[in-house]
Amino acid sequence: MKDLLTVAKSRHLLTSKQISALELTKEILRCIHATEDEVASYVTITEELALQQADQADKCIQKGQMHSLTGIPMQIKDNLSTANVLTTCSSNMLRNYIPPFNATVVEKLRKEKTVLLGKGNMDEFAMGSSTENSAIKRTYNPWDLTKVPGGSSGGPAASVACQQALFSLGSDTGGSIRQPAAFCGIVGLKPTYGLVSRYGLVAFASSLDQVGPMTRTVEDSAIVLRAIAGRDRADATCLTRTVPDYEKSLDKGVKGLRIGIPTEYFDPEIDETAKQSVIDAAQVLKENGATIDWDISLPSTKYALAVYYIIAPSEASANLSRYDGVKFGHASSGDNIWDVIEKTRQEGFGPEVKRRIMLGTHVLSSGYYDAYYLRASKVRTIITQEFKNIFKKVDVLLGPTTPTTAFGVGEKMADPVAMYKSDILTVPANIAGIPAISIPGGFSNNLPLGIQFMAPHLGEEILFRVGHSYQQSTSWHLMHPPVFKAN
Amino acid sequence: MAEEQSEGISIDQVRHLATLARIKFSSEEIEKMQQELNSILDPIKMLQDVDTQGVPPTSHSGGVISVMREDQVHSSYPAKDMIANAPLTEGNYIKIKEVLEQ
Repeated sequence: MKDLLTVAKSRHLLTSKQISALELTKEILRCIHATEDEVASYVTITEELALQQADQADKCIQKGQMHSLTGIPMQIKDNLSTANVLTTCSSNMLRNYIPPFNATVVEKLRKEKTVLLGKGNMDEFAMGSSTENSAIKRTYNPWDLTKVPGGSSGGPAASVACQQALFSLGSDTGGSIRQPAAFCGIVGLKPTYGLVSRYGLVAFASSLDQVGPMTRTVEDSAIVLRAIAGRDRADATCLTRTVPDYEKSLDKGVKGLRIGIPTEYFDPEIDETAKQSVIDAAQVLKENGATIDWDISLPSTKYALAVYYIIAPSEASANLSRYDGVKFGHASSGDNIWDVIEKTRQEGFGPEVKRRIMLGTHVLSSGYYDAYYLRASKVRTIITQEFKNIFKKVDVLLGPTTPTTAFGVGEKMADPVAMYKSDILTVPANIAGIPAISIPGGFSNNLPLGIQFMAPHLGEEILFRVGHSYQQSTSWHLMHPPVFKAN
Repeated sequence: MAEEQSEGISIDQVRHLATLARIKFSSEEIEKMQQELNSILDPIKMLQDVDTQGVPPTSHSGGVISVMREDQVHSSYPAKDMIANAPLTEGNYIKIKEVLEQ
C-alpha cells in the first residue's frame, strides 16, 4: 500500500475480498502509531474497540451483509457524542465526560458497521481556527510540523491527510471543516443547514452548526454524506427530504454548468497564490465544459465576519450556560450554588470560550440587543438574499477557501481578531445555510491550498459533480504529506 | 450605544457581564477581557453602516418552520445512565447546594 487509501478504494478491496476489515484496520492503526507522536491529532484512540468492530464487520461481510461503509476505519471529532467513549470537546469542562448515548450520525455509522478508531482533537468547544485552543493537546500540520492544521476540526483534517483514518466527521460553524481541510490538503464538506442531524453534536451556535465529512476525495465525501444525512426525529431542524444517492451525481460532468467567481473573493487581503489556484481551477473546469462568469459580485461579503461574530457568540453564550457543575462535566466546590457555578466555569473554560461567552452576553444584553444582535440578524437576511439572487445567474460559486496557507504554530494566538480573519471566506455559507466544499487546489511553499465551491440550498449534487470533475483532471488530492510513511 | 462607541466597554461593564455569564475572573483577567472585547467589537461596528430599513431579521437558515410527528410511545434512556455524569447524586436524583436561602 504505497499510495494513500480512499474509502472508495478500500470498499472495493473489502468487497472483492482482497483485504479483510481487520487487516485494513490494522494497517490504519499502524499509520496512527507511525505518525501520532509528531502529528498528535487524536484525543482518544479506541484501538481495542476498533479491532472488535473490524472483526464484527468481517463477519457481516462474510454473510454478505455489507453496507456502504462496512469495515471502513474512521475517526469522529471529539464534539460528537460517542456512547461509552470519552467525548471531551477538547475542554477541561468535559475532560472526563463519557456520554450515555450516540450522536445520530455516530449511530448511523455504527449501523453501517464502520470501525471507530478514536476521537479527533479540536479547538475547545469548536471555537478557533488552529486547534491551539484545545485544552488537551496541540495538533501539528502533517505537511509542515511547524504549522497549525487549522481548526476547529484540526485533528480530523490532520488524521485524514496522513491516513490515520480513512475519513472523519467534523463540524462546521464558520469554516471549521473547510478551513482545516484546506490547510491539510483534504476535502471538507459543510452540508446544507438541516441536511445532517445535529443530535449529539455538542452545541456551539445552533443556527450555524452542521456536521460533515472530511475525506481525501470528493467521491469519498459523496459516499460518507449519504450515510450520515437525513431526517431525524431527535433534531427538529433536520430536513425531511429523501437523501439522494450522491455517488450517481459524480460522473455527470460539468458540461453546461455555470461557475461564478465573485470579485469579492479576489480582495487584496487574499494571497496571490490562493487567487492563482482559483484561476487555474477555472481553466480546468472550462476545459471540462463549464462556462466561467468573472463578472459577478456579492457586495455584502464584507459584513459576513461581523455578522458571524455577533450571532455565533450570542448562541454560544446561551448554549454553554448548561455547564454549571451540577448535571455533568467539571464541578468545582464552593460555599453556595452560585459560587460553585462561577468557579466551575472559571476552571472549566479556556480563554477563547470565555471571550465568546462574554461577547455573546454583551451583544444580547439589555440596551445593546437592537444595535448588535437584531442588526446582525437583518444583515444576515441581506447576505442570504444576495446568494439567492446570484444563484439565478450561476449554478455554483468558486473562490479560495482561506486567504493564506497554514500559518505558524503560535503565530496568531495573541491576537484573537487576526485569528478570526482566517474564516473570512468560509463564514458566508454558514450565515446563508448553503452547502460549501473545500478541495485541494495546489501548493504554495509545500503547503496545500484549498479552493471552495458553494452551491444553493440542497445543491450538494452540484458540488460533487464539479468537485469530482476537477479531481479527475488534477492530482493534488493524490499527493501525500512527508510524515506519511508507506508500509 | 453612544457611550460605547466613544469609549468602548468599561471595566464595570465587564464585571457586570461576568456576573451575568456566571464566570469568576481575577482583576487582571477583567482588565485583559476589557481590552480584548473592545478590540473584537471595533471591527463589528461596521454593521452600523448597513441600511437595514424594512429588512426582516433571520434567526435560522434552515427554512423548517414547525415539525410535526406521530405521537408514538418509545423507550428512553435509563435514569441511572443519564445521571451517571452528575457530580452529586442521591438515588435517581441530582443533588445540588441550597438555592433559596432560609
